[in-house]
Amino acid sequence: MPTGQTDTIVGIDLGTTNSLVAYADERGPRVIYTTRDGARDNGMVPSVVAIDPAGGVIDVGRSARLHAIERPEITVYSIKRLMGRGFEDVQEEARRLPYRVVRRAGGQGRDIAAVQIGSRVYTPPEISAFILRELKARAEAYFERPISKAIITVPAYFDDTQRQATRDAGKIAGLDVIRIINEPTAAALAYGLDRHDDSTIAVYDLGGGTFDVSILRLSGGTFEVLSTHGDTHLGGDDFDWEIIRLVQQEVRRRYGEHLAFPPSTLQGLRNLAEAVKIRLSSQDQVDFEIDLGQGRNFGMQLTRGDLERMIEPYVQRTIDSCRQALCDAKLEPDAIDQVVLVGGSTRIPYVRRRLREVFGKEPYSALNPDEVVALGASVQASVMAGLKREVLLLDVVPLSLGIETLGGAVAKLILRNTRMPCQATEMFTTFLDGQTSIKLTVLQGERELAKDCRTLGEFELRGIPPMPAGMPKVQVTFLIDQNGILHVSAREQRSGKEASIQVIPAHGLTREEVRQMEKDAYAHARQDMKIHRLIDVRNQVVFDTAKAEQALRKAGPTLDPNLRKTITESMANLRRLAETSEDSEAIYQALQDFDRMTIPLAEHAVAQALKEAHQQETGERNS
Amino acid sequence: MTWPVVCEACHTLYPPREQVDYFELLGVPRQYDLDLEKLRRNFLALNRRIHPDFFSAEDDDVKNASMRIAAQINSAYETLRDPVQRAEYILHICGGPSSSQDKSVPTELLGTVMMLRDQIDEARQNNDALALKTLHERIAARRQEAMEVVGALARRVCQSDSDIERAELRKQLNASQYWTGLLRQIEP
Repeated sequence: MPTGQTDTIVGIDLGTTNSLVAYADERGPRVIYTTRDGARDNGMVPSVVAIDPAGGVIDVGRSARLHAIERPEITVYSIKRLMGRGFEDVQEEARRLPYRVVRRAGGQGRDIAAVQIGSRVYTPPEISAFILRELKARAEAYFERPISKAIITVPAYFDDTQRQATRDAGKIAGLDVIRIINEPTAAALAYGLDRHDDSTIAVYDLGGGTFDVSILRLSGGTFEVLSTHGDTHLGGDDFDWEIIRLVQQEVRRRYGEHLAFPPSTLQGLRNLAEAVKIRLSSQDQVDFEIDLGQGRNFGMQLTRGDLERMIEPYVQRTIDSCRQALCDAKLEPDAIDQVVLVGGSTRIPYVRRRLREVFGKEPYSALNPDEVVALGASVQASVMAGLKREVLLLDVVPLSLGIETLGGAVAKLILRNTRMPCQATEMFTTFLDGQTSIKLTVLQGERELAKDCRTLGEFELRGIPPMPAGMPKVQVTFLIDQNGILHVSAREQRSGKEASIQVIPAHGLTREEVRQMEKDAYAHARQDMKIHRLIDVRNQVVFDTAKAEQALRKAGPTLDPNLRKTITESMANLRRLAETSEDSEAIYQALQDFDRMTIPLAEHAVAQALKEAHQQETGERNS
Repeated sequence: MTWPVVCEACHTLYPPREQVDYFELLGVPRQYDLDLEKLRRNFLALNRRIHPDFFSAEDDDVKNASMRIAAQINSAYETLRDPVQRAEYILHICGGPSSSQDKSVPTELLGTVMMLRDQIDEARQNNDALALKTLHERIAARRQEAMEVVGALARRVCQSDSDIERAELRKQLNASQYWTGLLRQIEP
């Protein structure tokens, strides 16, 4: 058990399919395999949350996944795909998900995709917070003390809103997210930690729901990202859906077009498709059977070739991304010394074959692709905690940042693949006499028109001193920090006055909303704890009084009658209190008093037992 | 090595300044010809002293200062690393006009560029790979020539303190943008 650190920072891989928490010290990084109850598992917490329609969480992780088939409408998975997105953006995803995806009423033209269970609407950061709280509990069980600081990884291609949403999730879970790092960069950290030779590597990260590729230069502990590219909606899930679609087609061909698939069957198909996909990585063909109910069994066969044909367009998109990243880094494929594989989907032989073709070398697969991101995050955590100074991460902005100009065009302020942190300044003025505020729409993306880019939000600069039109000179500074998160500040040059900025995030939460959710979550957690404690202490009362009752019975006439009377009376009082009171502290106090009172009873029992043993002994000798 | 942003003895960050000289910041001589390997080494060494990741336990003021300094260093490195941007920066600190203030180009340039654009379009339409390759080589060579002129002017411009030389460097830098644009057009 590690000791001595006052400020423990853990590294968290908050994945689409699985999440992990890791920690690094002088002995190196390791995944925490301790469960919240102190047992051990493989460290992978399925990113699944089962929610009670009446309110509250039923289960998180492995046990939540068990609900998925019986109650798909209350079992939330792949929430990462909805993080920081608008309802309009996620229409296609929503069709695949068995739970209800709704538009959260946000006001001011905001559009946030959310999940509705029963009558309650949960935002993706709130759902993610349940997973983070589970990871936090694991770390706390491991360290046996509270953990409040973490580094969380995100896909390199996540935009500002998605990063903000991730940080909000941490906050709601009671975690101070001191750094957000990119998943491929984290993987490079884990890979390059013990390598001292200079090299250029490509990290190919194909997970359940996202794809990233980053080109890095490693030299003397410096991890310098040269370029990055990716797709936040491409992953192993898409392969599963190709299989599901094919199976549905075949089933309908046999049983008719009208056949509907209820959510529970869909969930079953999802599990089946994933299993078939995994088996086709080691087998050439898989035969399987589907129970369609009413005694109908449908048998099918799928070959590795079938799967490869289905996933080819997706893999091609990842290859195109690799070429773009190489081009942005101004490198030819043969300049790459090593291709490092991350994410479960890189176990697919077809993916490896295509990478071999592009880079002309065997990809590096000695790392566990499921753990490497969490391990890297924990290495960065040890840097941030001041335990390690030799590692330095220099990462880049994945998407260009711009503002909307008249006519809906985009003026780019910061180009993609610029090193973070970075800043740009721009001058703005007024169009009307006496105008005291200016509105800006901030965008992220590579396209020329505002409507084709992601709107991060509207920034309203307020408190501009009234002047004739065109006179104020407002200098606005856009700063992207090392986490890829945007900060905007503004100053009116003539008056030197700092302008205040109100941000209306297009698809994100306001600070006030996050604070409220944090408070709610904290109250819920305390409520949960209180209920737990009440249950625990009541159980203890039942147990201890039963034990005392038994001892009283056994003690017989040799026990001091006064003692018997007091114990019997206080036992009745304690039981009554435990049944009627909700105050776990008061019950606990009464239980402690009772336990103290029964000490003579226990002593009496011991003495009697000794006497009996003695009598028995002498009796045996006398007979 | 001492740096203008951090105290070498006590590792305290100096308050970030609005304007910094990029050459001074990265500890390289104020000139067009630079040792790029040294520039990179200094860039990394400086980051090891000021990067925000090493100040995470400090107050917000210190964290913000390190973030702003890191942003300046990144911008300085990006600027000095690239020959065109480096020449632009030299012109700027020597009091020369910006590209929005002075858009003039050498007289024969626009005609040549238009002609080459037509030739690229034609070769594309005819799927003439050989013609495209020849055009590519020609444009790359012209850009190279333009960059040599830019370099020669950028080496002199600060010493001479001449408006004519500054205007000439501006003109050649504007021209190099056209060549870069053409190269982008011809590369797939």
